[in-house]
Amino acid sequence: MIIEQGCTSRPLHDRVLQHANGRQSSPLVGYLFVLLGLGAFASLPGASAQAAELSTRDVTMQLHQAKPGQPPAFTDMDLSFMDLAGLDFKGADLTGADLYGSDLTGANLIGANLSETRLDRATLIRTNFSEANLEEATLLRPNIFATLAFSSYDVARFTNARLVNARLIGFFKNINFRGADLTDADFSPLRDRPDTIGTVGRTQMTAADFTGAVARSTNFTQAVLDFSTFVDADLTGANFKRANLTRANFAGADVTGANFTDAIIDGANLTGVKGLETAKGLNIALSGLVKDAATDAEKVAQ
Amino acid sequence: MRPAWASNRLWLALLFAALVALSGFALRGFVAPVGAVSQLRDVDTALVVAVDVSNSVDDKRYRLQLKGIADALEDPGVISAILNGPRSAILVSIVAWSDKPEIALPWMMISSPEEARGVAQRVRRLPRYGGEFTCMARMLRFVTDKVLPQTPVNSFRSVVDVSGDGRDNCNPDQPVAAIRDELASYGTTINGLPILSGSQKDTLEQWYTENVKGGVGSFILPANGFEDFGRAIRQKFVVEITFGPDQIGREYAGRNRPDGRLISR
Repeated sequence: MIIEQGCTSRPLHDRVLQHANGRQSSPLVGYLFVLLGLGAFASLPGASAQAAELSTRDVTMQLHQAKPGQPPAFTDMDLSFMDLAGLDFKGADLTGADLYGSDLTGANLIGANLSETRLDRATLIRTNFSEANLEEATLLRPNIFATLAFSSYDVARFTNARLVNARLIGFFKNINFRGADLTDADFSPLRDRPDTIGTVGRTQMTAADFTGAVARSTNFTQAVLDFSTFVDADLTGANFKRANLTRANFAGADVTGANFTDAIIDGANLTGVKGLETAKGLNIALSGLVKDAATDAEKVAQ
Repeated sequence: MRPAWASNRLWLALLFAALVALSGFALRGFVAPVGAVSQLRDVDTALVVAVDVSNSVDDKRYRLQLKGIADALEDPGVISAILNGPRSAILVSIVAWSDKPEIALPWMMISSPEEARGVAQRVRRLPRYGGEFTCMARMLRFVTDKVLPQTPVNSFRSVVDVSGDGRDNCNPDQPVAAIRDELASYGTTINGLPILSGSQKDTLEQWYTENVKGGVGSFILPANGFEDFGRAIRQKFVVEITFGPDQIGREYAGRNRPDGRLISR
């Protein structure tokens, strides 16, 4: 492209207009052109909403006014610390949204797209994520309690949700991951940083339900999974290193290539488990259990 | 002469038609429940009744409030006010509020005496809601952000009825009056029904006037204790439903309060 001498100081839009008309135009016309363009952009649906800060009322109205088959989009929006309790986000597109510290108590997120969202420190009491896409989402230390007393009624539901590559740390007691896809998800504790206090401990998932879930190469390192259910789950290559699996139920699960090194598996149900022979560390744990049982039997006999 | 099978066929057809008609009547109550917003039509007023269920409201007081609302909805004066409106229909919703507000009764449409009675029956059967504190700012925020934006049909005006026996004691992030002003800026009228009982008996009406009452034609109509709630809410409904915003409260000023004082405006 050849730029004529003397034209470089002129605004680009003016030159574009001049080129389009094939004649010299007033700079005023060029400015009007730009203003009209900006006005048209601002009138586009979603453009103004993204530019302005959304309030809870705005979110509610967008959800309420959404037409059937056209779920509202909150892509990449900052929804942090917002009160979104009880709202119906069914099927909504929240890709990349920041939901840090937001209150999603009782919210309906069935089938919503939450990929790459940040749900850290969010309140997830009775939140329904069934069928939702949470690929590469982070859920660091969410709040799942309505009161100080634990109630299984309060737990969030992730039935058939997609949590591929998701990062989860915190207290997920009784959580429901039935049929969920947890491939490459990470439940391991954060590495302690020096000179800090209040470091995050192991992820607590006592009595969690992974029935029929896909947890290929999922990282359960140090997770507390006692009394959890992995019936018919695909645990191929999953990492249970130093996890607490006391009385967990693995009936019918596939543990091919899974790592159980230093895991506690006292009382675990391994009936019908596939791939036991290829699981790492499980034979040691099992032999330890057998040895303990034999010792106990000897004590009883004496 | 017609064959026998033709006669039988006629009877069968009549029987079938009768069965269809009867099933239609029988199913009517299930398919279109009384008062449900089954048919989309615009209404004159969208009325949110916010009921205090904090610690000071025991079972008896709670039931007195529900009975008062139900009786008011069945009151001939209230029904007449509804039916004589330009669109002859209103929407009603009840929010039970204390520590956290909850929708006790979702939006229900009233466009006939039968629907009014149906809604009243539902109000009488509402379960017990309860809580500790009087978090009015939180309730107004809830109504502003969650309840009114989800009004299922267009309404000529929206009114929030706030009743309670105490001032906000939740140390809210935003003052009650600030949220009241925001709600009023959306065109909503906020009316107050302070229940004058207990330690705040002498000051509550003034507090409601300064912090709760807002919007076009808003007013305060106090009740002298929970036993007087039914009388007050009935009068309040009639005023809110009957008159245009510029007339609200004027007709009742000075003659419907038990002590004869003017309604705060």
